[in-house]
Amino acid sequence: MIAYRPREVIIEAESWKDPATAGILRNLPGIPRRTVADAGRISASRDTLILARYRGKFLKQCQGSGAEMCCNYFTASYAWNCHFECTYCVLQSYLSGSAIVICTNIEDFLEEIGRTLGRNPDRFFRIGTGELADSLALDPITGYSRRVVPFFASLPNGILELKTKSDQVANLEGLGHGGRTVVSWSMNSRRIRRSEEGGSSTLEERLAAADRCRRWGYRLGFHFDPIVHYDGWEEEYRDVVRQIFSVVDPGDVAWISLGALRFTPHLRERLIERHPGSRLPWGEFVPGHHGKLRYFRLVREEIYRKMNAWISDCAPGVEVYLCMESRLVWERSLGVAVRDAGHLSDRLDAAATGGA
Amino acid sequence: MNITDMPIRDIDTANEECRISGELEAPALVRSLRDIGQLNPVVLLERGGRRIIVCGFRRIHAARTLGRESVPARVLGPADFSPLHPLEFALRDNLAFRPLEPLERARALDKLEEAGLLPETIVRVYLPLLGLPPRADILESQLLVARARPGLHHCLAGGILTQQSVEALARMPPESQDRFALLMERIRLSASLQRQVLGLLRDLAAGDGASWGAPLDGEEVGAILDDPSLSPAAKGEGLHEALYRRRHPRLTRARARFRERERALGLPGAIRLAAHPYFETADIRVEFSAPDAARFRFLAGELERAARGADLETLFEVDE
Repeated sequence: MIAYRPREVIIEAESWKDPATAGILRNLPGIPRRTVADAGRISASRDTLILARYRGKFLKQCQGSGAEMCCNYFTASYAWNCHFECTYCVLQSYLSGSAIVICTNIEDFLEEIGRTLGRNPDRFFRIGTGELADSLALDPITGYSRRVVPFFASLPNGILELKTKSDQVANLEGLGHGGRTVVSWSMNSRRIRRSEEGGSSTLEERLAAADRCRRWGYRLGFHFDPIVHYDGWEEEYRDVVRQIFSVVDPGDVAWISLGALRFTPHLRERLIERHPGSRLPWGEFVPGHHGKLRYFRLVREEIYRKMNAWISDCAPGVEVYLCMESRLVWERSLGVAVRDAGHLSDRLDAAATGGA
Repeated sequence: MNITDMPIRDIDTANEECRISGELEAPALVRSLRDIGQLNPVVLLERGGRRIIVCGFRRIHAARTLGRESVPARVLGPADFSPLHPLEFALRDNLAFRPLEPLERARALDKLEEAGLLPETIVRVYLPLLGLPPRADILESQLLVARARPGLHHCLAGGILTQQSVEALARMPPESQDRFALLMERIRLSASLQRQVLGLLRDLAAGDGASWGAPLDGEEVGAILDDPSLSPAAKGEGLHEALYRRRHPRLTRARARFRERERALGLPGAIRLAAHPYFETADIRVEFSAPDAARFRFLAGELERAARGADLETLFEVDE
């Protein structure tokens, strides 16, 4: 994995009031820094790290909400953008500046989550921090996992999911997670990782990190997303499934999600323009949910059916779910009838806590 | 103002550095010149012992058509145009009489850039003058169109290709541009189909790792283009369908299966069945209209008959 090392750090003046700022800067010795009044107007490259306060709402419903079958996931971001630069990543499409932004008012983040969950004691929240940035790639700089993981251990109705393509798990060692944090990895075939996932960790590095987390008592998640349909995809993805279960015990796995490649037409054009060698844009796509392009349904069903069979061969009983798919696709590819979004959500809530 | 009767042989008509007009043939102008004579003198720039045309390319061409040997002309020196470049003078003169055709607009902008005007100046001053938004990307598009191959210019001037299509094609190698221009001599495509066909050609070629025109080499496309019974528009539609089938093989097969299974139900043509365009859902929409109760009963009865048949189940399956 390529570790993130900015060339410059820009600090929003207000951020100096946050204790996190000094902590982050201590982890970046020798890097030039400057302070600005308003970081919102800065347009800079990935080499620039911006430390700023986030003044909006942290906790949001996942963008999958509105799909016929949605798992009722929540996202909460304390960083924006990613230096891995995966070719297919939505971050290439909708984040205006490409500088990495870390929000320094982490106390506000924790306070908002605590308050929201406290006001909804009858509802269970699965919350992921990996929507707008990799959950752990910047953790050696921020150390935020050391704040967030113990915080979730104290919440009776919340589960934190740290989703990553990195192997940066060192900070998770020794934390009192109370079984309330699932550490999960985005997985892809070796070929796609090599050609499309730039500076991310290799399959072996990810699995070694998963093994460490397993030994520290964390439940694990794996997300095959985006699955790419190409000649030879079956053998290569089946190999990854086998690799996973040669390292982790099925009992340690909270869930595995499957999602076939999808992107907005705009992102597809950007991909073609910026990565002319990529094989991703040339599949049999049709317009789908929210106007995104996705593989024709029969292609997706074939992908999910086969992936589910390979996973079941290695780990019968592991919770497998689909991301942003219809009831029809669920039933035809996984052979299970999910009644509604609430049913799916309940199943995943139970899986997150090991059925407790 | 000195107006002289300038012999056409003394004018460097081959120098087109200030030419804005696309088409020089102008029958109405020829008639006007014949009937009432030339009211406005042409403008010439005398430079280095040569007289080049600044304004009046079409008037001089019309005069020649009528066999005239001279035209009324104003002859100016470089200093007379200052601070404008003679090309800017020509452009403003043209705009005073008529709006420019899309290709003329693109060519004028290209010439302004070649004349050394800064792109920022062209964007700020000349794009609005030509009725275009003052944006750098608009200038870039216009320059692409201006620099496209002559075959594409011909298609644009003839309304056979849209400006957007020419712009897209202008990004391709010259041989691909020429090939598409030749193709357009045989087919007609609506603006929407042009966009789709260009996208399909790009996707198919890139997906196969082949050159841009490779998808046109197949037997199926050849048969469509060579079919004398098809009109140019029908050939265009046929080409689009053939490329779409190659780009979406499983979807088009699913559509064909649906149609085949619909036919197997033996319903009257007045009853229309429609699946989701991409089969994202299994839902099928049934539609018929009936002018009276008897017709309604008949069609409903036909539907009921189909509903009892075993073939109905297969209609909801699009699998191969």
